[in-house]
Amino acid sequence: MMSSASTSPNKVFLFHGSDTFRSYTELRTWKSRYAARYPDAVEHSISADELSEDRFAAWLQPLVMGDSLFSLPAFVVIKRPSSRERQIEALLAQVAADTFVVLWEPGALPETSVLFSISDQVKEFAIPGDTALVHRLETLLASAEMTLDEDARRHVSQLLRLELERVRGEKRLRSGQILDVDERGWWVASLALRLRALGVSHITQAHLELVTSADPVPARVFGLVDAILSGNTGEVARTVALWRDQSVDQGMYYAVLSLLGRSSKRVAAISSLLAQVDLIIKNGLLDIEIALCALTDAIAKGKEEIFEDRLLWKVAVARFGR
Amino acid sequence: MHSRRSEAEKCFWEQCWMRSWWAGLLVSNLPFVRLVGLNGSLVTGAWTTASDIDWYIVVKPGSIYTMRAVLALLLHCMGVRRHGNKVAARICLNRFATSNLLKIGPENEYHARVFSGTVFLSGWNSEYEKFIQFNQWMYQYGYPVTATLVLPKRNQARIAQLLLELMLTPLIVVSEPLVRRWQLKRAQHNPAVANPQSRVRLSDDELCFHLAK
Repeated sequence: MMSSASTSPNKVFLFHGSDTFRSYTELRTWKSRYAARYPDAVEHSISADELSEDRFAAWLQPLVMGDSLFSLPAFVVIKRPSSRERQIEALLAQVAADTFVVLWEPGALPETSVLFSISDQVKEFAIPGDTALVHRLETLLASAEMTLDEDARRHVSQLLRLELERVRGEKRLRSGQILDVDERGWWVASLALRLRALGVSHITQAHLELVTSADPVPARVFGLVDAILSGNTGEVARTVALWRDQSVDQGMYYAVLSLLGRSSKRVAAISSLLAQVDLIIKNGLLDIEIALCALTDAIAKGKEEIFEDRLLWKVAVARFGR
Repeated sequence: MHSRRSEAEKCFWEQCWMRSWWAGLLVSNLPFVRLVGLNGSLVTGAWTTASDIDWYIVVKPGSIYTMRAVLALLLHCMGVRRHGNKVAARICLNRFATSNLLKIGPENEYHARVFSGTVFLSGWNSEYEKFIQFNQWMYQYGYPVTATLVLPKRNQARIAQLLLELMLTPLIVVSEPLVRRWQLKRAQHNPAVANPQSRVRLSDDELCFHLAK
């Protein structure tokens, strides 16, 4: 039996914060430490929002009261306690001597939360900076005797910033708003796993690009617009073929045309080419994908006309049998 | 070309475009709707991840108040209408006009900048051409009219729309004065409309709400 009540007065622990990876790691560390210290203890774990109010009370009450004569020492993990904080406050008013409770909240709790007042020990895991995350990656790699070179370190910082912007964009946060949950720690851990799978001791930027290239590239329209404006026919053909395979919505192509139309104010040479593309598409002479490839070719070769009139006429005849 | 923009901003633009695209195709097929145009920051290139989607809608004369109410309800039910604090990537119905008044006014640099590059997602080619014709004044402010019509409505679709309008005209005749009175009353009691910083134009051919923040 645990006789820890006298040696460790802390009964209720609260782990919370935006850095969910660190708080989760801390929770696991805490569990393994207590399991080693109290080998006969039983672990109970639940998400507070999983059960109804009555069932949650029925589950938690006997565990924290420890009212059975033969009850074993226990440590109880309550995940997402903020959804039931008033109820938890009432239930944890008295915790049995050989019971330990961890409240694990994936996200930052407001200062007014009652969970702070009922916890004996609070650990907060705030949003880590880019440098801290790069350092964390280096630590994870160091355990496998791997190192990052300077360029790779800079590249990781850049990727982390992009990841943060992506998440902020997804959540539609304004510049002053703070992210409530930062999952870049998980991203770093996953990156470390993929790098370790490479089995090289010295990681360069090329290695990083290799393992991160499988990540989905979310912005597609702008990449195609840039490729068209720079006359990169190969890239345009590749993207268009990919879009066709993915059955990308027709609206995406019109988004490309819309952005090209805006660019034509700056790049005067393409405005007449765009007008020709518009005519070709609206008259149904060519599919929009092929018209975009032809436009890129015309830009690359500095042509003033996308097709000769005669060729267009032939296409019309072939297509519509006129 | 777009390297100044972050990935998040590019994704946001794509998301707004696709939302606007699908909603625009749906709305343009409703009776009495002539053109659905996208303008504002998404078109001028000044968008941020907190930007809304500004729409300019042209409807048949005599149906402007009813169509504004119908579209607001429809977009609200679809969960894409801008209201209250829900601004980012939401559609803002702040400018309506009838085919009788396709000239954007008043003539100033702001309107030239915001409306010269309007992207009409779908609608009638005849109304689009009138828009181009009536807004040549924008050129004097350094903004030539580069508005485009992405999907011109085909004749069959226009005929179907006209037939539907024919059936619904009695309803519009009854509803229009009632909805008009209700909307004008609401506007009169809205303190934001009374704010001198707001640019509000209300008439039977134009409804324009640029409310002071």
